[in-house]
Amino acid sequence: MVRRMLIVAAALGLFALPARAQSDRVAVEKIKENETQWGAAMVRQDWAMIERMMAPEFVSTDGAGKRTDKAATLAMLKSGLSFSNMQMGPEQVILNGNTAIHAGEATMTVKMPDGTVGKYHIVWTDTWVKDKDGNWLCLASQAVEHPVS
Amino acid sequence: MVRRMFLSAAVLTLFALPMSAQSDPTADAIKQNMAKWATALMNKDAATLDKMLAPGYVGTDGDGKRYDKAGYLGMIKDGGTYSDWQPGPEQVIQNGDAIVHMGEGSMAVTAPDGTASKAHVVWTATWVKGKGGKWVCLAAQWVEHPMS
Repeated sequence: MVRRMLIVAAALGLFALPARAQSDRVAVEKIKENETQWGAAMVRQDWAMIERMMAPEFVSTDGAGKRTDKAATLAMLKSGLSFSNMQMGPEQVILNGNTAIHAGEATMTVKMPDGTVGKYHIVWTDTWVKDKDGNWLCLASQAVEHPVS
Repeated sequence: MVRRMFLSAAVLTLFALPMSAQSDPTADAIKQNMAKWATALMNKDAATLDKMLAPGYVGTDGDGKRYDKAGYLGMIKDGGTYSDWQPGPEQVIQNGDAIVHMGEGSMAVTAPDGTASKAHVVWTATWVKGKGGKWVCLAAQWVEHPMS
């Protein structure tokens, strides 16, 4: 009886592990896809899409250490900033249950509201959380930007 | 009837105010962890930090340089020294199993070559429950600026 229980437990374990690994892979790919979509939305100034990907409590921190909540971040994006030549760099996703960290980087051309244009390399750490409907939302982001010559 | 409703509302408010003013134990635990982190940083206490970081920890500094757990602990042991920690404002956001701590502080830094400076640091750190229900830091990004 004990032996049979052990065999059943082992078999369940064998099935459970690949299922978990598969769902983790799906989650990691989803986070990467969201980040790609976020970058593309910035370029085409699709602020509605970015708004949908932000959690209500979203807070962003820039390279100067300035914090902005969701409303302020969206207002800043809508203030006349434009992004182009977005080139995504290496990325890493660390998954822990319903929390995921995306550590990514990109280079892009940024046009400021005053017309100044610059090329920047940006390195960020984003925290994503899964909501009750299974959607991944960005809860927090800290980034640092350096001018590229 | 209307008067009774007002009275009930007033009584409820009286009870509700102290409840909302109460601190959140989870947020407090994370704030305490961050305070311990700062103390460990000042003391070059990598063993304490080792217990606070998740195995998959990734840290990112103001130059955009990434550190894994071993790399970060190595930097603490062999890098510069830190002192005079002055904690600044902090904020905690809890969402399901994730806690984001946003904090700042200033400290004196002595680089490995002996150069002394003062820096203001601003960070975002994400904490999750690790094995045994203990909070561990999964990722942090910080930026430091020199202070005059």
